[in-house]
Amino acid sequence: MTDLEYFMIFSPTFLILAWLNLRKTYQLRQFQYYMVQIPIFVIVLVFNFLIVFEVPVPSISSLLLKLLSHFVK
Amino acid sequence: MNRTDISAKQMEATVVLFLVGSSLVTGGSTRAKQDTWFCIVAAMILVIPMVWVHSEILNLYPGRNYFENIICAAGRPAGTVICVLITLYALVLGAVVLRNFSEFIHLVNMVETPIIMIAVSVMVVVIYTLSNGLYVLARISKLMLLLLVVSVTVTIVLAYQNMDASHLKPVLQSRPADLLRGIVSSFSTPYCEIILCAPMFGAMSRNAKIFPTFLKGVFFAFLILLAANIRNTLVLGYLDTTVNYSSYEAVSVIQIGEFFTRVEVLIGITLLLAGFVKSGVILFSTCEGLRKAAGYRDYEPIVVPVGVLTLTAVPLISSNVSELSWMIEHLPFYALPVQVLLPVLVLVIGKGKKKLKQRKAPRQGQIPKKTKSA
Repeated sequence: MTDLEYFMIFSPTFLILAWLNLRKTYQLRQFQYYMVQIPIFVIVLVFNFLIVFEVPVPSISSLLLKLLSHFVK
Repeated sequence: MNRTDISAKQMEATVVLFLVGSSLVTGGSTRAKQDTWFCIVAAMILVIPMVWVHSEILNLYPGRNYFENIICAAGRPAGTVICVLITLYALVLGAVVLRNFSEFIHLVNMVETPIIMIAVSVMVVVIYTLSNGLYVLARISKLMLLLLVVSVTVTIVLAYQNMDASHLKPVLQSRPADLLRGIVSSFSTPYCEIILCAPMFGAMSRNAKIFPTFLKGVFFAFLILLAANIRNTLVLGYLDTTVNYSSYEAVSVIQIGEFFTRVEVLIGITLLLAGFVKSGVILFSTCEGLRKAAGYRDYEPIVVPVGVLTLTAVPLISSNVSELSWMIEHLPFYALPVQVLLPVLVLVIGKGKKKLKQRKAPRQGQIPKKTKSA
């Protein structure tokens, strides 16, 4: 699967879910939740653009290996 | 009991499906090879104190809210840090479970379907279920547990003719280091993952007791996992430790005549059911932790953001299958401080604080008596 295919599957799901979620929060006047919702949606979008543009992002397991290799051999 | 309260039976079923989750398919085999059954038994004995620790944290203060009790016990700054650490652990575990789950379906059944498509399909259903409340997931669990028990029993009975008792020999002849590593591995994954089950107990009916319900769930999961592991070892022998999805491989040898084959579909269904519940429970705990750390009242509005964040972490968790296997093998050692150290620390501090408060309380009570007599 190419990264573009990945984005084509992920982006519609993301957009629909994000829109429904933000709209419901707006309708219920619970604007305080935007403080968590919007930053997370931005982080998700940034990471997905990085994946699509094939920017090398280190995997979580390689990060864990680098960070914690001193403790577990 | 409210309509949205979860009964003890439903909670037990949810705990069982959460623990059985992905471990039933991978078989839970460890470096102890044919002695893995011993590691599973030892891990079960070791996890009983942990069940007690989580139950006591839930009972520390009224309300049975796990994350709230952590903050009350450890204080606002330290408690928030602990909540964030548990939330991060839940997020990583959620991504690992979803990746493992999608990878299994991709490799075994849907080779042409992209992994992200499978992950998206599961996550959307999990988000929808949780948005309607945790009790929906608990009710589904009670029904699913029955199917899971039937599936495991049927596969054990049908695999009987392919079993070889000599595969369990030599008994307890593994190297002590391998046995110890196997015990730690079994203890951490899946038993100590119960830390992510604990936040659910806030939604349980107030009449039900936490410790017996929790322990019953863990014990029932232990029985299923032990039965599945012994089945896999008896059928596959040494091969059990070399394949990724040993339950699937063990069940795939079942064949009765020419017409009754492909029983491994049952394992696929089992994973689908248990993996769904496991993902749901992990997503709930992540949302609860984040809600408490951010100081919000409800978790529902943050289910979607956390869900899509988990989905984004699925491709980022590892770049290939071997890295994923490495992650699954080593995650227990990284997770143990969060799973064991933090809850024990919180309980010790919480109990100490409570005792101090109780000692101060009678002294304060004596003052008005003295003034009255004077």
